Amino acid sequence: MSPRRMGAGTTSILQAIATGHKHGADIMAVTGQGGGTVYKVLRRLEIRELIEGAWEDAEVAEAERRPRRRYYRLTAEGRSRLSMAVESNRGVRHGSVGPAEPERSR
Amino acid sequence: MSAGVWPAGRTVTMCRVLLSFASRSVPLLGRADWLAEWEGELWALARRGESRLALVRFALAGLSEARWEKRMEEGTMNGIAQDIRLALRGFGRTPGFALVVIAVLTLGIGANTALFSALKATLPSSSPYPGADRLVMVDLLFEKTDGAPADTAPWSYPKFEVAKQGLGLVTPLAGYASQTGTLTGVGGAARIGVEYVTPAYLELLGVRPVVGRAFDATEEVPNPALVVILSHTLWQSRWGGDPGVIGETLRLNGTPLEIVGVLPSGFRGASGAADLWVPMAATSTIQGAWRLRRPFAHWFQAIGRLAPGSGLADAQAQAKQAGAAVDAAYPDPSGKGEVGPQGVAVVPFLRARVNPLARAAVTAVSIGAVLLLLIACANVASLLLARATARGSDQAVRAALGAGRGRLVRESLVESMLLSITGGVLGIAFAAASQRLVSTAVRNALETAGTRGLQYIDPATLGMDGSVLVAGVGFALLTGLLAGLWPARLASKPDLTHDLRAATGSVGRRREWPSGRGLLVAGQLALTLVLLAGAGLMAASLGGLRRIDAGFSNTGVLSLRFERGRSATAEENRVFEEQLVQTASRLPGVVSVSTGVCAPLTGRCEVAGVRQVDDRTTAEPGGGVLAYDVSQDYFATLGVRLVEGRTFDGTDRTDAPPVAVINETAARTLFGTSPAIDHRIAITRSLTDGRMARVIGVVADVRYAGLETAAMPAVYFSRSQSMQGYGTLFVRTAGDPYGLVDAVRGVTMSLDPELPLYDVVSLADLRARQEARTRVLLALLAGFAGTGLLLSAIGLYGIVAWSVSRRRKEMGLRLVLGAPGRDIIAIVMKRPLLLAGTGIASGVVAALGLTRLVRGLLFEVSPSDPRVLGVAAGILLAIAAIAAWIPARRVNRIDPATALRSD
Repeated sequence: MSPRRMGAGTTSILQAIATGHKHGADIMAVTGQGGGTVYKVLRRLEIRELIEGAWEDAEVAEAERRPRRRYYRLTAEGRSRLSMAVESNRGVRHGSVGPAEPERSR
Repeated sequence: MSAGVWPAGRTVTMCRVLLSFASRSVPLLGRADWLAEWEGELWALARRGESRLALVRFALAGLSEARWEKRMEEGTMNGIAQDIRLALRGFGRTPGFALVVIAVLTLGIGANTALFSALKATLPSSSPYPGADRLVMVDLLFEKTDGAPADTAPWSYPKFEVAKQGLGLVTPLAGYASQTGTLTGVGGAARIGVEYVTPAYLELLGVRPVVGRAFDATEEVPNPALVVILSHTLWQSRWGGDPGVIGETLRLNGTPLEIVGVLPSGFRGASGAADLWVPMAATSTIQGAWRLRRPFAHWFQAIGRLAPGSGLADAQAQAKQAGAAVDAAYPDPSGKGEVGPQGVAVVPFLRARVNPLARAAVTAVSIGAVLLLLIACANVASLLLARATARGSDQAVRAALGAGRGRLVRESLVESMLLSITGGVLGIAFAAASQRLVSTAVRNALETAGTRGLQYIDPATLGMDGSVLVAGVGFALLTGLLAGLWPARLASKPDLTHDLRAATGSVGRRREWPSGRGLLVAGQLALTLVLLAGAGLMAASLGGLRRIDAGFSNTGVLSLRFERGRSATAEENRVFEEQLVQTASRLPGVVSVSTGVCAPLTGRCEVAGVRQVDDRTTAEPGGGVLAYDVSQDYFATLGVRLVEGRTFDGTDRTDAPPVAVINETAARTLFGTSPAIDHRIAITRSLTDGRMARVIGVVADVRYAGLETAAMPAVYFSRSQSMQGYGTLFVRTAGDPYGLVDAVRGVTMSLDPELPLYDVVSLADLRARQEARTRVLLALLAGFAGTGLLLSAIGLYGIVAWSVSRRRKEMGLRLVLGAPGRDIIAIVMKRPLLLAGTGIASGVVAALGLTRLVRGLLFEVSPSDPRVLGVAAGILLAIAAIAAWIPARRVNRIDPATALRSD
């Protein structure tokens, strides 16, 4: 897949993951975007292999008497794409994180 | 996960129910994970103490996200684009497959699109005139005494006047006669189309002159108004579109006429061939007073418009009375009651202008084209099915992993649609390119037909318009659906257990005969048989037409018509003709030259009745005799065989006693088996003044009326004894007849500069025209049948090849066990041949039903002719056997050792 510009919404979600907000609910809280939007972006980023999702250890959840949660982390590719996006955004809009804007795909 | 871990509260429970419901939309493969993840986050939110509203919003977001996951899997726009990419990549891997399919579809869709426009032109709805649905043709009828359908006849002027009086509900009512005439006085002499019309004609057809005026009521009979209106084309070509043309004079057949108007571009009259319109009243000056006076000179047609408020039935009722009035005014002069009463018929114009033969022909070819398209569909479906089956395990795996049925169906449909749309675009282009071909073919096929002086189908109306394009696109989409649906259905219901096990190699493929493909191949063979039968019937008809002895030898003879003005005397005409024949005979390459009335196969020439044979007055033999004036070498020039006696020679001149040559039919009808020579006959015709003529010879029958019409009794007179101012010049040459046209024209120019030669055509072409319709039909149907044959052969070949490759192991085993190769081939071929037999048998049944539709287009062959069907079935069976044998033979090349080790 050819490199393409990332929307501000996508960038902010990548940034949220990069800064340690690894669960869906946290990402929603940090980026201020709704669950539907966040998860759609997460799915696409997974398909593009910029992030990878994984399940937390069952024992941990068991011990804390709560459901297992799925967490996300950046891949190497994701990290480099994020820094590229931040670079170019800085040039254009001085790093401001705009409102959610679903990424257009071909 | 125990319920205890969840915070209490109705909202959370409700949200969990909502999420669980939402998860049903998620593809099976990821469903459990999806639900777990969303529940996990819901838990986190609830734990964090988010408001109820936030929790509900989160759950609702889950609902929409789950739907999105489903759409992602099945794909909406995104998915289709992906499918198209996938399909294109697939075609790229097997370009041969794609090319074959597209070629097949191009042909099928193109043929149907081209024929659609031809079919549309034969529908009664297409008319160039405003309000054409209220136009009617008014025909004169001659009833038959034996109850057979009445003969339709043109009108004579006195009868027309009577009918017009009685037909108040058809008003205006106009008469028109389509003829040709010699135009002089402007540039070179030319033969052009003329319509002699009553003044109401132009208004009736809704045409107004662009320059000058239309005819007015004063130009009605009996006032011999010598005026003329021009076609736009003639105005442009002869006067360069000069508006000052009004008031100028042109000469038609030598008679000066004053130009009063010019009609709009595109209008050529009801005959579709006119360049001049002249009031019918002027014919008494141009052609002779008899035109308008004689009640039994039937020569023009009538067209009218239903009066406001009256329907067709009213007019038809009134026509009955008008018919009675005509019959009362001009009863049968023989008074013998051999012919029934005269009548009047009112027929809708739109129906009258559809040539029933052309319609039948176009319908037949269209059915053929639809059959071909169905074969193409079946072929493509079968190819797609083969691909779908080959991908069966792949599909099964994907279906097991949760790929929706819709997705799998769509993939198949996208493939077939891509192919059919490409085929459709090329097909429409192909149709546009073949348009000229079709319109020429249609025009040729129509050449021989034509009654009422009406232009049947205007070939100019055959064109690519919006509706033809829509039809082409429609054919393409329909083809895509038809071809793609079956494979799609199959793909959507993969036999999961079986195909999965096959994919993992734990079972062998069991479905040796994919019933779907088998059925498709049988269907293709059945449809091909119908096409073959149609082509066979046309071939048999053409063979029949070719075998007809028309009575003349048609190689190397050119015919050219001429008509001298009325001003020349009989003696001047005789001198002219003698000089013409003599001078033309001296041209290099000319074998012989002669003149006659009309060329064979062009019409009935002049019909008269026999008045007297020897001492007795006779009843007319079979509806009259052909009266035909020929010059000395006529029979030699046309190669008409002399049966007994002699033909005309230099002694048969005006001052010598009249002599006649009769044809074999006349000899048989008049004299039975006794010799005809030296009998004396007289016929009812003014030119010989009814004098008795001695029969000096009998010649073979010549078919004048048409190839399919048996010769009627004919009496030939010497042109020297019975001169007319018009006729046909025949020139026989050893070489190409058309090579002489300029030289012959030169000769006539030197003798009479104002005499154009027209209807220049070789006798060979006259004959070919008679066969044209059948030949065109044969060519098209044979083309379709050939394509169908090729397609079904490929289909059968494919299925046998597939079966052989599938059964390699079994065949290897049989070989090892000592079965002779021949037996194994027989085993492999048994089922395809059974399949072919079934297809052919059902094709025969279908053919028996469908070929009846072409009955009217056949000549001397029954639509259910057993020989034709037998030959068609034989050809198809032979091709099927070959198509099955080629791949079957490969079992001999199986190396048992390798085969047994393979899967």
